Amino acid sequence: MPFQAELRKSLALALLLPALVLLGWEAGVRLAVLDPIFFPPPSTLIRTALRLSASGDLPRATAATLTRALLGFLPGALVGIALGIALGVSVICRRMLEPSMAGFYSMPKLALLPIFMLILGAGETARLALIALGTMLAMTIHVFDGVRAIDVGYVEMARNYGATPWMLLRKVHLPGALPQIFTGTRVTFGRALVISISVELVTGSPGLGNMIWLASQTFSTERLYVRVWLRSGCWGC
Amino acid sequence: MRCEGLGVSFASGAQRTHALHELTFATHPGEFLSIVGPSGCGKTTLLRVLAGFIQPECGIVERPEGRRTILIRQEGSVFPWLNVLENATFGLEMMGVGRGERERRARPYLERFGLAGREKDYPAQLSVGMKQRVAVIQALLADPELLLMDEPLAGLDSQTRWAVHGELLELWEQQGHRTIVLVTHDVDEALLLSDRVLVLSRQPGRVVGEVEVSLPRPRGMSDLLTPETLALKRRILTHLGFAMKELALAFPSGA
Repeated sequence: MPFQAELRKSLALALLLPALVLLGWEAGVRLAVLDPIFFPPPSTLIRTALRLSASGDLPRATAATLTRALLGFLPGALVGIALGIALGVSVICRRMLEPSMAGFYSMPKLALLPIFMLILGAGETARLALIALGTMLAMTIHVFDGVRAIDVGYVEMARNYGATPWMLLRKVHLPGALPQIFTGTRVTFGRALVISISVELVTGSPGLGNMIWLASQTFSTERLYVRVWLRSGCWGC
Repeated sequence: MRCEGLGVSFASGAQRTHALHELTFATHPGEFLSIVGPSGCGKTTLLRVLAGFIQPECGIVERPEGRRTILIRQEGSVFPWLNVLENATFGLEMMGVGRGERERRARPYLERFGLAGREKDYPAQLSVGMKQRVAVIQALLADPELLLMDEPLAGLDSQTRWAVHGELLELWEQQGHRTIVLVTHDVDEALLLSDRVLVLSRQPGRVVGEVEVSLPRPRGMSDLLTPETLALKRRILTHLGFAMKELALAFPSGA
C-alpha cells in the first residue's frame, strides 16, 4: 500500500526532530550538563504527565481551556467570515472598515482585557468576548484575502448570466473563498487557544494557563513543562 | 449590435495607454464576425467593452435590448469548484432554471461535444480542450443573442480545434438567430468560420480593413486551398501587414 508507506515515512520524519531533542535533553541531565531543577528530564516529565492525568487535574484543565477557546472562537469566526466577505465584495465596506481593522488587528488583545472586565464584569463573559474579538479580526483578514483573490472574471461571468447578489455570494464568493476560510479556521483557532491561555495566566481562571502559572510559582518545573507541551500539542493539530 | 467612435484608455502610473481609438463597426443579425489583429491591439478590451464590463470613455455601444450578451474568455471560463455538469449549466442556474430542466437541456450538448460520462469530473481532471468545450456549452445553453468569443480555442491542439469548430458551426447554422463575434489571430480560423473579417490595427486599436468572406458553407479544411480563399487570405494579410507596419513605425528599428 503505497499511501500508507508514504504516511509512515512522513510521520517518521515529523517525529525525528522532537525525538532527537528529547534524547539530547535526557542525556544532558544524565551527564549532569543540564540542571534538573530547570530542565527536569523527559522521563520524569512523562511520569508527571501520567500522574496529573490520573488525578484528573490535567484533563479537567485541558477541557476548560478548550471549551473556553471554542466558545469564544465560534461566534468570532462566524462574524469574521461575514465581515471578510462584506469587505471583499463591497468597496464602500472596504474603504470604511479596512483602516480600522488593520489598526485593531495589530493591537495586543490582552491589553483590552481590563476594559472588557470593567464593562462586562470579571466573569467568563469578558474572557469569551476577548477571544471572540481576537478570532473575529484574524478571520476577517483571512476571508477578505480569499474573496479578493477570486478572479474578477468569475464574478463578471455570473453577472453576465444575470446572477442576483445572493446567487453571486452563494455560487462564486463563498466557494471561491473556501480554501482561505479553511486556513483561516486553522490559524485562528490557534490564536483563540493562545488568547484563552493568556487570559487564564492573567486572571487565574481554571485551565491550562492557570496550571502553568501555579506550577511556575511553586517551582515545580516538571509540571510547567507538561502543560506547555500539552498546549503546543493542542495548537499543533 | 453597433458601436461607434469607441475610445478606451488605461492609466498606468503617469502614462496613459490608449487601447482603443475611434473604433466603429456594426454586426448584422445572425452574422459570424471575426476580428483579427496583431497581439496587443486591444482585442480583449474591445470584447470586454462589448460585454459591458468596461465603460468606454467615448463612443457608444448599442446592444439588442433585453437580450443576453455572453463572453467566453480565453481561459478561466469554468469554475474550478464546480463539476462539468454544474459548470455547463451554471448560466441556466443563474437565470433561475430548475435543476431537472437544466440537466435535460444540457445532456444533448454534453453528448455532442464528447463530454457524456464526464459530468461528475472537476476541471482539474479535464484537458484544456475539454474545459473550453464546457465553457462553450455553458454559453450556448444560455441562448445569447450576441456571443463574444475571445480566442476560446487558442489552447487546443489543431485537430480538437477543428472538431470543436465543426460542432460550433453546425449549432450556429441550426440556430441561425445568434450573432457571434470571434476574436482571433489565426487568419485560417477566421476564414473558415466567419461571414466577415475585420482587421484591427496595433494599439490603439481601430478598424483598418474589412473583408467579406462569401464562401459557400459548409466549409472544410480543404476549402482553405481554393483560389478564392487564398485571394481573401491575401487581402486580410495585406491589411494585417499594414497594421504591422504601423507597429514598425511605432517601434523604430533597434527598439
